[in-house]
Amino acid sequence: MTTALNGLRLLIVEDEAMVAMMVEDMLEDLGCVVVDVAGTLSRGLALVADPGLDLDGAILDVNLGGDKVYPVAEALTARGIPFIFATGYGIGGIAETFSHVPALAKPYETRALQEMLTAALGRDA
Amino acid sequence: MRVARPKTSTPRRLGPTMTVIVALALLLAGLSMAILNERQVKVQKLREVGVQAEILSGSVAGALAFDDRAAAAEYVGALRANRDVEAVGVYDAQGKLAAGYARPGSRLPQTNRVEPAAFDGVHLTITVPVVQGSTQLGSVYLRTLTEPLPRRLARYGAVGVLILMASLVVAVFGASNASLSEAHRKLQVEMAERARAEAALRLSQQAEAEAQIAIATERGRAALRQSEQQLELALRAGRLGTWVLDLQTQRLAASEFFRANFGLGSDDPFDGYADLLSRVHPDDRARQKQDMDAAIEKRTDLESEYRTLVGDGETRWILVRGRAAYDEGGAPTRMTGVSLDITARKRADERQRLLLDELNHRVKNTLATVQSIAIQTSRTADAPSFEQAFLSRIAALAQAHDLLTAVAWDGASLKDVIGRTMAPYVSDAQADRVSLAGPNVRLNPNAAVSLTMAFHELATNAGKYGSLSVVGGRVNVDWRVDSASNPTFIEIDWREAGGPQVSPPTRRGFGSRLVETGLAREFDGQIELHFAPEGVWCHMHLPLSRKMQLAA
Repeated sequence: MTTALNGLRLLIVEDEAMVAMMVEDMLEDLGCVVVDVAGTLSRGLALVADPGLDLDGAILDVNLGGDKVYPVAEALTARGIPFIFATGYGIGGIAETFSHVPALAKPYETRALQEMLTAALGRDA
Repeated sequence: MRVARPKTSTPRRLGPTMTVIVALALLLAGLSMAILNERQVKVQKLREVGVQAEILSGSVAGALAFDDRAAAAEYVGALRANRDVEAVGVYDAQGKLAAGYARPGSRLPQTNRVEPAAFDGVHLTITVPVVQGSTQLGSVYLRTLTEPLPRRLARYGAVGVLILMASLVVAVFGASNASLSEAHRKLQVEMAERARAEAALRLSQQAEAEAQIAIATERGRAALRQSEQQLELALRAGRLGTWVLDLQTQRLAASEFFRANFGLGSDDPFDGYADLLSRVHPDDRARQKQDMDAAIEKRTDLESEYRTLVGDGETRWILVRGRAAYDEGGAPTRMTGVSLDITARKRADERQRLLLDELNHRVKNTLATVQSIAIQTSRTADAPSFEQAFLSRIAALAQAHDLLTAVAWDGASLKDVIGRTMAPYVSDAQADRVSLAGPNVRLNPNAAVSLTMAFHELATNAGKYGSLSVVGGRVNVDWRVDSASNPTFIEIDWREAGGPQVSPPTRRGFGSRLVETGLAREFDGQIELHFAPEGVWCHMHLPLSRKMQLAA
């Protein structure tokens, strides 16, 4: 499957194992490279803080076992790496600081993920 | 109320007494007039007769001087015309009759002496001298009738009759006047009585009305007292505060409960709108004012909910309801209302909202999990076994939810999570095939779901291919923390024994991926899954966190 997202190196921050696995599969189906999956805030922060990690974008679950993912979002913003949110709380559950960031409402389909990723960080084909 | 009595005019009453007095006075007057008249008649007669006598005296003076009796008789005869003259005589100086005549029944005296005039019954006798110069030549005798008695009596009778009639008229008039006056008096009396009766009636009606008003007022007061007491009880029972705000002076009258809503006692200053506003949460002040202004302007009920500052950084929520009153000109004068502490309700509302949000979140996450299970299962299972595998995994997910619901989603224990996933594979009689041992570890809902799914995969594999697929096979699960006082991680071991010889799977399925990769990432730990020939062994090294911690 070749898409505008082909070859993009992406990070998933998601604390629910089964959901993370599904998103991983979806992204691989879209031709993306899942660089890593972080299930906790500290792991996510550590990955984003690693300058050696080559990233084109990220998909962030808002709630990580009680922690908010915003520090990771800030670090990504600081590095100029685009990202989208995925949340079970709905769009209204996102902090105002990041209200401009596209957000996917769980559960979502591959097509929705693809469209949002394309809009947020897709390269011109 | 005083009733003015009608003024009775003072009538000129001519009563019977007055009538008698008037009649007597008339009679007296008549009598006096008669007597006076009698006297005047006498004097008049005396003068008339005196004049006649003097005329005669003068006339006969010559005849006497010349002793001419014929001439004297002539003068005397001239008096015959006067019918009252009864006798007239002329006498010479010696007193002898010279001439005269007398009507029948009368006679002349033979001699005459000059004497004062004398009334004799109805007769008057006058003698006058006949004088020429200083010589008395003789005298004249004149006797006349005064008014005859019958005539006088008739006259007086007529006068008397007139007086009597007058008296009668007076009496009749007096009597009729008296009766009129009596009737008038009676009428007056009747009118006065009537007026009194009417006044009395009015008074009694007024008194009755006043009595009724008094009764009604008393009843009203009693009812008001009762209603006030009931209101007070109701206010107390409902913990309702009451307040009145004067909209012109901004003065506030606050009840005990209203003050309590602001954390104030009865002695604390709280008598102006500014006092109130200063104790409203700063974020709610504008809204409080806006709600009040709108209610006053639109003449609607005020209904406002806001937070109050009750001191020590604590806030309470109160509900205030009220309504403004207006003067005749339509200007708002005051606002009256009640207040109720709704902090508990607000907190319950908040909790409810959070619960709903959380429920929504969980449902969405659960749906995402189901979605994931469906996709993973369809990718790794053959078509005939998909349904069974999918339903089994959904059942495990439901089981995790049941467990969490039983503890109100407050987290489950690791032992319960593992025990429940093993339950379908061991009966009570075979309980010794599974052993679970370890400290009490608490899992948050997400961890409970993930671990349930992971152990479900291990148990399913054991039941299908591993130790639980044969009689006598066993599974031992034990876990421990690195330090009882300051634990940082937990190690869990799943060991199968007594089963058939294990050979590694030809391809990596959903179970292996979930346990080795998914679960490890979720907990940021390490998990090894060994398909050792003597039995499957799974070793988990997971850092303790908010998701999973040693229970106190």
